[in-house]
Amino acid sequence: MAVALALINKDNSPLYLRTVAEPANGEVAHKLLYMLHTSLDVVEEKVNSSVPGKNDSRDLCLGVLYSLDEYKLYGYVTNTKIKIVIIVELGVAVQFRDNDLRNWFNRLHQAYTEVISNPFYVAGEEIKSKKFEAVVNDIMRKQ
Amino acid sequence: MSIADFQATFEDHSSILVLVKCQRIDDQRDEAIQNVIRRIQKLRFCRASDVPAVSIKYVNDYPARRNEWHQFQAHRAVRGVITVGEYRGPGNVQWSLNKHGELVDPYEKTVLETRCVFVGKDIPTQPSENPVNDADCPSNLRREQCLFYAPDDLSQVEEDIVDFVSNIVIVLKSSRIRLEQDVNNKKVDDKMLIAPFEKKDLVGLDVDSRQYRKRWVARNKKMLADISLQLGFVQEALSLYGEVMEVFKAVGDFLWLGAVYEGQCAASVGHLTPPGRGGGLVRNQSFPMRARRNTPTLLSNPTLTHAGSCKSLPVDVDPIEAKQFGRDLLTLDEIVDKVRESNANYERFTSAVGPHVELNLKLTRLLSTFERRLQATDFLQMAVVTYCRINEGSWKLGWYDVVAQLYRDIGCLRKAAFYTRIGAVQAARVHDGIKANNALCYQLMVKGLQGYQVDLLASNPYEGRRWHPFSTPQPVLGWSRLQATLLSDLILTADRLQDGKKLAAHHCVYYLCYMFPFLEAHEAHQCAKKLDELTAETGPLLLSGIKSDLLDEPLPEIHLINYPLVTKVKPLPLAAEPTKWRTSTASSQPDGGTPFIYAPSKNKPNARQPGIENGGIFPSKWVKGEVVSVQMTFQNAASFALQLKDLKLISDGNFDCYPCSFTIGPSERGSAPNSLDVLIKGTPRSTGVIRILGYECLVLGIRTRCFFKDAKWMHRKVVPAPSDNSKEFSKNFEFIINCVSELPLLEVSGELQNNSEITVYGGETKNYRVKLHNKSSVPVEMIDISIDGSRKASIEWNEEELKSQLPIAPDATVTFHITLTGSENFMASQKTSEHLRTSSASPSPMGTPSMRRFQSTPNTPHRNHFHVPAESATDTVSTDITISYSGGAGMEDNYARKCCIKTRLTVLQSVIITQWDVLLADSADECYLVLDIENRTSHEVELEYQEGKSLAVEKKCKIPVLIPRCKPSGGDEHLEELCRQHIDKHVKLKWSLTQQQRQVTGYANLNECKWNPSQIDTILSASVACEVFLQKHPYNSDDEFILKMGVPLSVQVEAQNSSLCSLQELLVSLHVYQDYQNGTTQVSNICFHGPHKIPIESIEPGQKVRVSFCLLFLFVGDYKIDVDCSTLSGDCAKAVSSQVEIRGDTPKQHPLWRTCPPLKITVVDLERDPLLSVPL
Repeated sequence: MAVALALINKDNSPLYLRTVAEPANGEVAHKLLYMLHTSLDVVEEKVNSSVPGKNDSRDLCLGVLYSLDEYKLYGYVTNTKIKIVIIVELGVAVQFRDNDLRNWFNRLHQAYTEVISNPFYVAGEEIKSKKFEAVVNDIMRKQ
Repeated sequence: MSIADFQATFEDHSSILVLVKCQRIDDQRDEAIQNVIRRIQKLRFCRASDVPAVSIKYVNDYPARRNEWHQFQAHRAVRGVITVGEYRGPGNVQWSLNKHGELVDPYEKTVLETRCVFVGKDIPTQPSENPVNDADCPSNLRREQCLFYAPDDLSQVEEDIVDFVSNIVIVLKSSRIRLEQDVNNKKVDDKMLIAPFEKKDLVGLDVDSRQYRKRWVARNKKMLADISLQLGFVQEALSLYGEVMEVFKAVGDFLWLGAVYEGQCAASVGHLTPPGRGGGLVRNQSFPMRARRNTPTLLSNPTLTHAGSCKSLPVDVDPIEAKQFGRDLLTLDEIVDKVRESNANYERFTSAVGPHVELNLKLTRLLSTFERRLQATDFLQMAVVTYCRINEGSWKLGWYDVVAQLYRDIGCLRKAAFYTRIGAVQAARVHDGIKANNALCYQLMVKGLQGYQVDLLASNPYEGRRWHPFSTPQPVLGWSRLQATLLSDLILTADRLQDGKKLAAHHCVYYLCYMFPFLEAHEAHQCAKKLDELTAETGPLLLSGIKSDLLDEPLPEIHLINYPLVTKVKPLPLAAEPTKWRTSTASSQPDGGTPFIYAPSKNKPNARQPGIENGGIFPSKWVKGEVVSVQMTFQNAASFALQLKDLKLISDGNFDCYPCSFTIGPSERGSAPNSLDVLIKGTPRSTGVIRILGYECLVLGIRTRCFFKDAKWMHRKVVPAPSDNSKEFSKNFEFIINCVSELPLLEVSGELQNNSEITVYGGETKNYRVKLHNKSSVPVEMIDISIDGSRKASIEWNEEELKSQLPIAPDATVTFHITLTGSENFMASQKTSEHLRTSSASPSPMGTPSMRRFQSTPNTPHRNHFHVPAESATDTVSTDITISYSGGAGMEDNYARKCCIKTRLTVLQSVIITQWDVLLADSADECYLVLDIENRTSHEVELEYQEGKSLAVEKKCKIPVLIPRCKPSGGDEHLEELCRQHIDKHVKLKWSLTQQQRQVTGYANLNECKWNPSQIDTILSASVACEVFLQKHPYNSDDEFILKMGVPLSVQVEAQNSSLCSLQELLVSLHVYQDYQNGTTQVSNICFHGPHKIPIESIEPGQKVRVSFCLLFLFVGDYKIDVDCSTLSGDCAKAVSSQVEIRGDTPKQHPLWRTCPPLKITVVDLERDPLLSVPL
């Protein structure tokens, strides 16, 4: 299941960060944050290295960024270089399908599009939207 | 030193390992020795004894444990040792030789050649002079192996090293040949090649078994391949690896199988074309480098024959072999696959972690040069995982450094930062008796920060950030949570360092300043406490130019500029502001000196600047030597109280600031920051411009300096226009204040206080005494008083009295008097008088205004009585008495001060004249002013309207005031004004009332009184005084004049010029009519004997002229006669004439005199009415 989720702007600063870790459990939260942060290297690498045929410009999903013993990181990059990274915890006996992931990313992308359509939202600011939050909650709670 | 070589590359397989050691007699670092070592290490490749180029890998340190793996992989064996030492004469040689022996000893099994190098000045020049004797040498050194170099002549070094390498190569070659023979002859002995941990596996192994023999041969073949690779025989090595691979697979010798794969990769690497290099080189198509391996039938392929006959190969190259070589070579992808397989094999052996990790590092490096970054990270991660799994809990010196460096090379800066940080954490831990290395930990931590967008060296991290430090951060920059954690760790580490207090304080300030929006309240509080503790130990700190050996660059200056945050700065004007004494037209321009009335370019910056709060030019002036103040508003958004000490202003100019200290209380999260207004005082010490640039203070033990130009939040709202010069713009964030020379300062005291309420009745006069006290040390040399405000009261002062007391010496007091008179319009309101005028213009019964005028008698008032609306009794206005004064140097500069007595003046209405009129008195020289007086006070008023005549007025009354008529002087003057002055002179309406046992007296006047023309006529005495004689007797209007019908009436008019000028062209006329008292008149039944108009040429002043008329009444009745004396030239009455225009036959006539009232004559018929007996 998804344990952490980040929406990162084109300058690699987070617009939205969320981990399932309890606020008191700083260690786990930090660990997840470090993971999200370091995953940007891979995202950048994947975005910059254009292997012809493989990196279809229409496919925004980057797939697995890297995998660790307990976690797997998935990435998604919009055309405006907004990155979405989701950390999925492994080991839980849950069937996890690639399709679900794509669905999540698409929903998040849609939600972000709605956020920036809000005239009161200043691009680059931290996202504080109930609707967006609801989508995230839905994804984090699933499974 | 770990068992794995973190710097391993695939190229190591094809190099000969040479250990170069520096022999140190003492701890001194000898540059000459280092120079030699450098020179030696420069020689990386050499061609020796008919082998292809041999590459040499030099190491300075090599653990013997690693050397034990020499049977497993040949390149792990140290083949040569060179020790370099200082030559200090023959006596010292023995020590060096022994040392050399000790150094070589651990590697004795593998070392093929050694050299002991001496560097010194007095070296023997001839080989015979060699001080080394064979007898002295340790067992592993011969006399010839000692080399001597002078520090300034190192030309021999390369030659000697080539010689040294050649010797190694020769030995290697021979051992290769021996091995080859052994392998070919299958001379299996009981000495199997083993990896160090395999020893126990061999115990009790059947040496004669087929399995053993196979393994023995295969392992030796692999060794042969390794040596071949080292010597540059890549082709042979590859084919040998290919052969043994199958054997190892068959016998299940997986560790060695992994090594074979590794060897294959290593052999192939040298033939890969790195990206960007050799790309432009056109490859010879016939050269079979890229022949695919998946064509095993190639040998039987007819193309092979074609290849065999290929002419493009070098002469001594067998085309078939070349083809085979091409097939054996691996491509990059194949190398990756092979390494994967190899990894799988190594994974089975926990003891083979060294080669396993090395393999992954090697591939990572290779992939990184081929820019396959993602794959490289995969393998690097694998290396990390392997290493962690095996050596869990043990300290990995240098490991994370290497990993971080590799990630950095790959381009994964964040990963690199992450591992740098882990390395830092490891360094700070105590492992296996190794002390925690805080310095290294700190160094690594600082290095790691860069990956997290924290730049300690940035001079102004606010640059380019849009957000206000205490508002919601926008945009979110960086990974704030991680940054905060890292920085707080950094502070702790720095604190642990021996001399790291300053560093820690610097980081604390950085943390507090630039991370504030992201910090939790307790985090900031903790950091502030930490800072307090640090500075308690070190004393107040100024954080500038902090250097440390652990940092590459000194840390930039940092100031705690937002603890607290200054949000508003406002220089305050002096209580008594200096102003220009008398502003000339040129200098009255605000910008001084522009000849244009309006200069838009000059006014523009002011328009953008709402006030001095944003910085700019202070509109007021300060005075040299006087205490001035600047108001500053501080905000404390932190959850702890901040104590500010020694708060001072930073200024450019001679300005003494008095430091002040205060504490700002904490503010609660979620609520507005706690703010505090502080007045900072100072004294300018010279005249001219003072610029206030910022402030400095001691807060949390840090000496902080904040320039307003850096405090961006202060000028957030001022957006620079694109046209603005950036230099000009920055000027707006300082305060430019002009200072003028010393000026005196007066204090006003006395009866007239500032902001006093004064109540006067209209016409009342009050006297005040004003004291001026000079408080300054400058004498007052000039004083000027002006009144500003309402004209409700006239304020007068005794100028002479004041001027006579000048100059006022310092600390002296002068007194003068101010007289205040409540002036009021004593007339009823304007509206009423307008009403009056309209009523006077109503048509008269006579049809002409001139007729009407003669009816205006007191008995028949031509005005109605108006109700005058009560006006508001009180009317309060502010009146400022401004005293400007100057003296001393300030006066020379044309500056002055003003002190202002502001009063609230209430003028109460006393008496009011609601109606007024003028009546002729008995004497022609006098007239009555009839005034309706209304008492508007709440008291009874005693009104003295004429000498000796007074009456008490309760509400309203009517008074007659007898005044002499006004005689025009004959000049060309305004008659109305003349009348006014005349009345003002003669009418003194003195009223008095008793209010709260106080006698209040005042004078009312008629200044505002509007007189209509007829009234003016009445007031003015006629210039011609006429006396009328009827039947030669003076006419008295009181007596009835009865005339017998048929008797002629003689009317004589004696005109006397009573004015001061001569009168010209006079006309005396009679007008006789019958008045029916019902508005109709009849002019008939009269017969003139002679003219009815008689002209008079001229009358000199004082002269009398008599004219006679004669007329006859034809019927009985009451007749009236108007005697009219008018002038045709209009000399005297010129001004009046325009207003009093009489419609008649001669419009140019100007009446001078008329009978008033008209003569009344009763004509009787004696015969019909014999009762009447009239003396005729």
